[in-house]
Amino acid sequence: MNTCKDTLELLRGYLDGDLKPDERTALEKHLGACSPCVDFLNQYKRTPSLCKKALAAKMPRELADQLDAFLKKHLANE
Amino acid sequence: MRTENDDSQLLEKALAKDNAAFAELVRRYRDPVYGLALRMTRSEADAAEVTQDAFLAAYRHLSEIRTDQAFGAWVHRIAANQALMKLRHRKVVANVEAPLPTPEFNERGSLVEEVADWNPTALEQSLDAELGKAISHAADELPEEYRQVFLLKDVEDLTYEQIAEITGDSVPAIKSRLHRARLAMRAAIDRFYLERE
Ligand SMILES: [Zn+2]
Repeated sequence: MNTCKDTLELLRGYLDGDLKPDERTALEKHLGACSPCVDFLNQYKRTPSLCKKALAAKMPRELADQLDAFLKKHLANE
Repeated sequence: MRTENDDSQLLEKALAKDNAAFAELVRRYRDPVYGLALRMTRSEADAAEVTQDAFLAAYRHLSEIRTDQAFGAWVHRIAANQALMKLRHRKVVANVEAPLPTPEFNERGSLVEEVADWNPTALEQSLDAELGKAISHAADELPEEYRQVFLLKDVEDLTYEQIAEITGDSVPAIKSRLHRARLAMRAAIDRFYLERE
């Protein structure tokens, strides 16, 4: 029987479909009997989308203006 | 959001030396490109430089873009390359980084940590902004090689093969780092919600 530790170690492979059939079966068996690992898996799955949203940045106005000026100058010379 | 011209039309015009069309592509992608560069370099000045260099390189190599490639994804990869080059040239003493957080297990390998509810019912307006800050801080704290992989895979949606091409690392190494980075980011989000309970 897989432990929680074994299970959580394989989450990425599980979600990417990288596991061997027996690894996958053992992992799903553990998940079927362990709700903390199911909660953990759900959080692990949600993490990328939460981060994607949080890490979006807007270029500060003055840097955007600098970029415009920089490209104007260089594009004119190409 | 999109005007009458879609990216591929603008790209076609830009290839025909229409600089106004290229400028429009820059306007569309400068924020996400800058955002990636900022997260990767953790410096506004470096990020601004990476953004400039990436768009200039994109302009110079515009004819090399494949017809099935989206301009946005392509310029992001150029920016990721430029950011990595900048980091490699940054000859700073490696700062000592705290070990990455991992889940806690008991001696039988069972998960012992308390897991927070990520869908609190009492949603406050400020929650999103505060969570955003916590996530941004946690991403900045990731050791560099973990941060790059996490940004490129989970924020930029590149494939493992594309990341391997950019970083020069093997796909298994990238996968392993991605897992560690996700565990650390999950822990940071969980800590945020636990502290609010
Ligand atoms: Zn478990």
